[in-house]
Amino acid sequence: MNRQEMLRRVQALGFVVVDVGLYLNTHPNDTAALNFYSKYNALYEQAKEEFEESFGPLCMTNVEIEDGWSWIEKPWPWELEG
Amino acid sequence: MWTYEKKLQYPVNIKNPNPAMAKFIITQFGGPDGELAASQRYLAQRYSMPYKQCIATLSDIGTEELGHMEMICAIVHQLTRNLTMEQIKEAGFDTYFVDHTVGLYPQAAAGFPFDALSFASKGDAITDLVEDMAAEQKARTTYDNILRLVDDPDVIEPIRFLRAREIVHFQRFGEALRVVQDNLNSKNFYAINPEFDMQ
Repeated sequence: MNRQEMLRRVQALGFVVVDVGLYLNTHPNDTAALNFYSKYNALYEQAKEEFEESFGPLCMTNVEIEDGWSWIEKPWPWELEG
Repeated sequence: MWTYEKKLQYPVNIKNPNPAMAKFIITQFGGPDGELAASQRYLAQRYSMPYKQCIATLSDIGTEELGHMEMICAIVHQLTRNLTMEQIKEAGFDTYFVDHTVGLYPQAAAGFPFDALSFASKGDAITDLVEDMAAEQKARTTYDNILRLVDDPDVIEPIRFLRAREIVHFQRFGEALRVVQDNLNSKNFYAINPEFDMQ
């Protein structure tokens, strides 16, 4: 997968987790939703890890310092397909 | 995209309610030099900012200001817990109470509501960073004034932390301004606006 494809996967899984999280806020005992959250949150974490390995940190606390302070490197998200 | 972390940047644990204090500390939520204005000012400025060090500075300080807004709201909330109607009237908190009860509403100490005019986003790297340095100093002065007015150690501690962060941010914005200037013509920093002429 290229950068854009990997980013799409992170975005899609991130959205799934946010959306089911909203549902769980008002349905905290829904077992099916809890299992859904657990499954997709694991996929989301894995997708982020894979993306960051190839293309640098998505958040400041995931900087790998062997690459220097990669946090400031472009593209930023509002730059064309950052 | 942001993700919320369920913690304050620095702890706020105020044992004694004090609505008189809440009345002026709320200005750092919704006043002209408050944390809401600070966060939105920096986060709005970053899109057209040309240099990566400066983009990161605006992004990260803007994000930290959101956390400071949360700390101020926590302080105001804890100062207005378990109030009797007598305490509300005695402290002159009745004018706030009648409109907002003890909910958090962004307003200045004098009572006027938050005004987006306090954002200031000019689309010129030098102008915006000088604005940001001034904004940090204005907030630092406000915290100094708050510290003159409060005597509760539970309030003083987090306010001192917030005051110190204004000074650090001022320093970082000064360094960001230096990065901008290093990229410009040293004979005339104003020959071009790098946010417009170098797109």
